[in-house]
Amino acid sequence: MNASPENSLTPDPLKPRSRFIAFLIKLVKEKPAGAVFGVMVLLLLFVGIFADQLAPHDPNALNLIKRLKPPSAEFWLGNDHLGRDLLSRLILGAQISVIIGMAATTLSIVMSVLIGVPSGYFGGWLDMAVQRFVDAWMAIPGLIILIIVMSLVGPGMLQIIVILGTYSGIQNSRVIRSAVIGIKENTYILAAVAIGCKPSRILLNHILVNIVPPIIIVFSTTIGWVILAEAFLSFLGFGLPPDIPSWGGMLSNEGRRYMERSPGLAFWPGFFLALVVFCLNMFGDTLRDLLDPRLKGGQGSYGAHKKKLKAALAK
Amino acid sequence: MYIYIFRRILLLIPTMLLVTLIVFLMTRLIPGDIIDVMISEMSAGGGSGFTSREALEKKLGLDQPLHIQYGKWLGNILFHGNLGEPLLARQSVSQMIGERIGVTLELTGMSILISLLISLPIGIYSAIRQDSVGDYLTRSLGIIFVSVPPFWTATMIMVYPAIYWGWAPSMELARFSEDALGHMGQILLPAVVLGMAISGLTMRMTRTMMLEVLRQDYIRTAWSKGLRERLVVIRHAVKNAMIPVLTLVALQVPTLIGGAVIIEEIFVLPGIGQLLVDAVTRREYPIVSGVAVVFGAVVIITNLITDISYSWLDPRVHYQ
Repeated sequence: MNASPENSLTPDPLKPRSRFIAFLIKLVKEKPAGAVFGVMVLLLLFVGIFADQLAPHDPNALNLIKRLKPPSAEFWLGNDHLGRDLLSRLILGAQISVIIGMAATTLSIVMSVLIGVPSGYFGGWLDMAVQRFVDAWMAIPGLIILIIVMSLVGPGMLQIIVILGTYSGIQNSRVIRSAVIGIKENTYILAAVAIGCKPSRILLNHILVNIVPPIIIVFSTTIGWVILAEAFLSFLGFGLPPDIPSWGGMLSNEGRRYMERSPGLAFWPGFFLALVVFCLNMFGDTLRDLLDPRLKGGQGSYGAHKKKLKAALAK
Repeated sequence: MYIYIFRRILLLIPTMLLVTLIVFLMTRLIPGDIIDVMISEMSAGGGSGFTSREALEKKLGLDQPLHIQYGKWLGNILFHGNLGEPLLARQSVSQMIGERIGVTLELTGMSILISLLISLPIGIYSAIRQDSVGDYLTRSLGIIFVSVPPFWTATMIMVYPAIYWGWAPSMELARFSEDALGHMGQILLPAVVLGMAISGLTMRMTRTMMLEVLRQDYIRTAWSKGLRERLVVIRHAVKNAMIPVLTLVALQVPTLIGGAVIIEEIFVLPGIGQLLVDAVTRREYPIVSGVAVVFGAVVIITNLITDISYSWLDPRVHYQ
């Protein structure tokens, strides 16, 4: 162990790209298992983007002769009640999950920053009013709000993205707010105020840049929740229209109706849903360990520290 | 202490009012085309439907200005305990909820109990054997529990035993007064599914808090007195690690209610979750808003009870 790997870990402010690469190196070194889940998440993203090319059959092609057939060489996971290829529909379902997950989570982050940053930075009556609203919002169980609003706007892709994003955005604004409150007492913010920076400049150049780690953590935890929530809504019939192959909808519509004759129709959508959310959660956990300064040197990176300590002692 | 409780209850009033306002606005700002859908759906169901748009709008109270509607609705709740009249059903919303809330409370209460039974021992074990193989396995188990959607587990329970053993959960809930054991047994399975889903987070929180407490000086003192491990862990550590865990359990109540909605739907349990889904599907918005207000109140009251119980659990906590 000499100085060279240590150097690669120190972020160089002049080269923002090398910081990202350094982070990747740190990820693989300290959290190899987390890196594996990161690869799984990338795989999901890949499947989502290239779903149309990857699907072995047309996911909407009806084939009534093959109705509810068990898995075969041609149709690996069997066929559904209309003879459509289950595997192709599952792959398309991955695409739906990726689209909704990414879009709604991005919206959620934008909302939470728009609400949380002013509330945390300006404080006072604004904070008071906003927080009471957030309190009340969080008192109504989320899935209840989602069911009610979805029934009013009707099922659909755009509706579900906007509603999941808005709902979780209001909730996540709490995390962003407390991150901002933690930062705003720092000396560099006081210095910026003292030299007469406009609030807009402080918010953009000083606050926003420094809440990037919590934003990444919130992103990674929200995306799993969004995918589960979409499945929940589609399962109850309030999410996506039945012709769109969402995992939740497949589990409920085809899966539950034909479960005696073809249990795979219920098993596989839920299995992939659980697998994807599991990988996202594991990867999110790793990111939190690496990015959350409160956990530095704590439990999260315990193993890595022990290794470093051993190496130092050996020297 | 009493002053604290009093102030805490006072603070609860604006939150509760805001909850009613949010629920009210959500269920009354019905788009015009939904009214048309409601008319066609409801009159298709039978003779008792609404034939004209005016009649339905009058029943919904949409013919009056918004603030008067809200005032009337809120006044009925506050002074008469009346959550509103449904559009087509004969009972009042309060009666419907009263009949069904027992099942939901049983289900959620039992789920919390089961989740604690799963998560506390595992979380404590995981902390006192930190970084062992068992620790890694149980931590992964915790994340698996968080990730697996309860509606999938529930569906699998309906599917596979039926195929292999010809067994399926009964569709009709036995009455508690007639067959208490059978009744509890029927709720047990859904409660296990739901309890498992929420136990993951509690497990992790228990582990983290235990690890923190186990490093405290008084634990070292307990060790150096020569106490047995069981005494150190149970008598000294667990009690002090429980407060954040308790908070987390209270914070999970909204998730739990959301889970109860779907679990009641799958296992056909006549609780208010099922009532809600049913009402939303039939567009009975007065029932929907009633159930939502009740759920909001449950969440707020749980939070209050948790806050107050801190001082009981931890004498160091003092309120001003």
